[in-house]
Amino acid sequence: MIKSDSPLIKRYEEKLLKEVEFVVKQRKAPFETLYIGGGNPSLASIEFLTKIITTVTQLGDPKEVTIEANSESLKEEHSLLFEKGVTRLSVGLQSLNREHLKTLGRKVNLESNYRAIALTNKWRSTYNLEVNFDLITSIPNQTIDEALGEVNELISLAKPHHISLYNLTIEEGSELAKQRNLPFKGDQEEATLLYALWEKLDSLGYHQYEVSNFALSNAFQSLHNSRYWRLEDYLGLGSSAVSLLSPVIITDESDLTTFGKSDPFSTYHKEELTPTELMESHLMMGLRRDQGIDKREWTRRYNIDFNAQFTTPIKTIKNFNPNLIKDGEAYFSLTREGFMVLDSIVLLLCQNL
Amino acid sequence: MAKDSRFIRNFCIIAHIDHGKSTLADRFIDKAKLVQSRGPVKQQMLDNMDIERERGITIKSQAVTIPYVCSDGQEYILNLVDTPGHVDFSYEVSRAINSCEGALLLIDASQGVEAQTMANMYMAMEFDLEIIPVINKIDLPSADIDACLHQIDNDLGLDSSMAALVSAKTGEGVDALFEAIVQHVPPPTGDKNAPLRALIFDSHYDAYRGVVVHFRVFDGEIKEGQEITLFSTSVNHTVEEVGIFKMGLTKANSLGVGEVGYLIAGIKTISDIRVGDTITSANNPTKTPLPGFKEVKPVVFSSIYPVDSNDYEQLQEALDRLKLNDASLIYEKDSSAALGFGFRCGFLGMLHLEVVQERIEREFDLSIIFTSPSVRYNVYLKNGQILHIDNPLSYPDVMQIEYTEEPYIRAEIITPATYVGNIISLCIEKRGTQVALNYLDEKRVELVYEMPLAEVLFEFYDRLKSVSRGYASFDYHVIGYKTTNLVRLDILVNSEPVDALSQLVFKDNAASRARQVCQRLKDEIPRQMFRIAIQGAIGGNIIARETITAYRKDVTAKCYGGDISRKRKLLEKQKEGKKRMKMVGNVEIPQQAFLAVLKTTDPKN
Repeated sequence: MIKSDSPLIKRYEEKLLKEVEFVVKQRKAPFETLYIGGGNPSLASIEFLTKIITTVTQLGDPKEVTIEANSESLKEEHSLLFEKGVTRLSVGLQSLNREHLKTLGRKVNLESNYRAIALTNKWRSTYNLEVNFDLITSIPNQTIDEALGEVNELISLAKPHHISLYNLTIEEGSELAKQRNLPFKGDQEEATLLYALWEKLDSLGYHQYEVSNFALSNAFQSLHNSRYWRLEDYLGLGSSAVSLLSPVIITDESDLTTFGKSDPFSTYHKEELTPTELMESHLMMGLRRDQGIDKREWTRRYNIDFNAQFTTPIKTIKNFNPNLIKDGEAYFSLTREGFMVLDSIVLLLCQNL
Repeated sequence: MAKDSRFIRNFCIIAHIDHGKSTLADRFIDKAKLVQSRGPVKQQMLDNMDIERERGITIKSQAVTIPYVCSDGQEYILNLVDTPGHVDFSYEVSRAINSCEGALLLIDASQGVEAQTMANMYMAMEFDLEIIPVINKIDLPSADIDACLHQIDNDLGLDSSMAALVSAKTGEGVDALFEAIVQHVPPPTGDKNAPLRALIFDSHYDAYRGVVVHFRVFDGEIKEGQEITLFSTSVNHTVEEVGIFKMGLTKANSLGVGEVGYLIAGIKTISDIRVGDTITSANNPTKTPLPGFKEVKPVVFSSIYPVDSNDYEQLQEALDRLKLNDASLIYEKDSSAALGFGFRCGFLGMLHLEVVQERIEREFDLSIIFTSPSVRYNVYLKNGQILHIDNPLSYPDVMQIEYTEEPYIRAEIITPATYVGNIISLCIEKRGTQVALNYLDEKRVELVYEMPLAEVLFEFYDRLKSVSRGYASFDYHVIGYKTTNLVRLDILVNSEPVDALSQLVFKDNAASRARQVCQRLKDEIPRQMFRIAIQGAIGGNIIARETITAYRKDVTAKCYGGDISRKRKLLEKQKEGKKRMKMVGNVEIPQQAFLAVLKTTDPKN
């Protein structure tokens, strides 16, 4: 593991800070949100994280400042950040079952998960802090009862403001993908499990405002992530970070090592999206939200009427399974059943672009 | 100056797949190259299509001339005529074999005599060729030469003392084989003073020079500047160039009795040339053409559609280009409600169809769909009209039909006696009527059957090979039409008929065929967002049904700002994949599904 005081990390931090400082200098209005995440920022020094936060907040306080952490790297001293402006903490737990954690092969362990939950509970009594926990489901050998049990347990232990519940994704080439004899679930089984979990979260007051994201009230939705799903501009800095300054998408092409070794802003790759590509991205992201796509906003952005553009595929869907969509006057959105086959619906719509 | 026919030997190589035919041919070509003193070395026989190499079959006949100085000091001209190797092209094979006096029967020293070896030998025997058994791959550690010799005597009934032992790979024994060819293959006979008679066994199209005709001279002489007549069409041409297949095309002044070569005569399209036709002199024409000429007619018809309807013009261009080198390919415009604009095509058989399909896809990079192949039926209407129908889309309303007829063939099957029972069962299953059963000797039986062509086209050959473990040889010719009971089987996807999947079938076979097609489609159409019903119907009667359940989950778990590019690229890929699908009644049918329907047998059989 890379130590936070290694020269590699130092160089990385120095360069990132330079970039952040530059960007802040160019800007007059405060940022709406700040999200420190991707990888495991809780490994970074508190000092560095503080610098980033103070630099960004020079322009004024964002509405939401989130930091991500894995449960095992979460420390008492992170509380200092809440005094510097962090309003939201997102902790990756993955599971509350020892066996399933083992299957996932994460470095996270059950003890650190419980410790992280206890820490957040403590912090919440002192700071005005929103908390999110990540859970993974559809883990091989995980039963519906176990999955429901984990959600129940998490909510009774912490009652977090927000839960991200991800269906297990097998990344090609990952350790998990190599274990062919694990009883990975098929789409039928996964659907049954997800429906049960979505129901459960709903019954416990968690509103599914995005396919995998649940908030105890609308006020606790992630403002930052919602920008992504509405395809609004965002700025991402650091290795592998992505920015969208419509219609330009900027991707950093360095890794943890090469980022620090190169000059500021030298590793970003710019790509201009065509109107079609923008619309594709918009459908892909927008339909993930319960609210779906704002038809007027669509017309405003692309100068084309949403209904006219998608008459054929929408007719197809209505013919074959009208329960997948809600085609309202102002919004086009998916039902829970629609969420379950979102990628297919997006593809069907994109074929008509 | 024409060569003395006493010093010419014309031969072909017949072999089981993988017994080393191409490698041996390569050795012969090497030999020809060594003798060739100047000029660029061009690939001749190896200039094959990928499909030929992959399938281990030869589709076009090819020839090469090898000068050889015999041990007696005399120079001989050895002409190797390579032949196609599939029943679809049996007519072309017969013409190529007919151009030879001898055949090398290749046997893999480690495999021994195999089914095709025998099947091929029977064919060579039919044409009275002198057969030289050649045991190849003698360099392999697993070579068992004694066993091969024993099989040559006992299984093939040939004289094993004549067998040549070679390794086409190392070149060992190839010289001795040349000696054997000179010794045992009879020289061509013919009358050099008689009017010209030359047999066309193939032709190819050259973008710069037009049609190049491949032929073998039987009588007389052919030379540059000569006025020739193509017997079947009575069309005259002036010979611009004659020559032999040495290094590519090598010009010669004239070719005489027994020689194999090419001619160029300003012939524009390959359709003007008919394989098996006799070339004669315009000034001094022969009265009797060479025997065995047949007008080759397509027997199986299918429509080709581009998966992406924008590719229609490219498809037209592809067919035009293929036609340049394939006179037997015919096509005309066609259209389907499900698939849009396409072409109705005629083929010599299923392999021919598959070859055309593969070439369009590979050489022209087009995604295409074939409709169910059909033979051509005679439909007699109550009003006295007769329709010739090969396209299910043009099948008239049943109420108008008096009766229908389908084409029949006479099949000649030669098989080791052991498999006679299996083969008879197969022929009965295929609605065959036995005409004869003859013992050719103690081991070989000839079966003659009359069968509907439709039954023979689609799976008969593969089944025959399978029930005879590959040993049976098979040839057929169309004998005419017989009354039949025909119905049109329609396939409905989500209650919408897919016209491109309709087919004309014998009534008693309709139910099982319908079940088979529905099952195939079920296997090939991936589960989709919606439930899909697949039905087989005759008129309004549903006779088969399958359901493809909708998939329940297809959603990416995590999608944030950093995932947009990657996700969009995935989406592009999926969209690309969809181009190989055809939307029919809101169901995406992959091209593969259309192809699977073409196959009549279960691949498991």
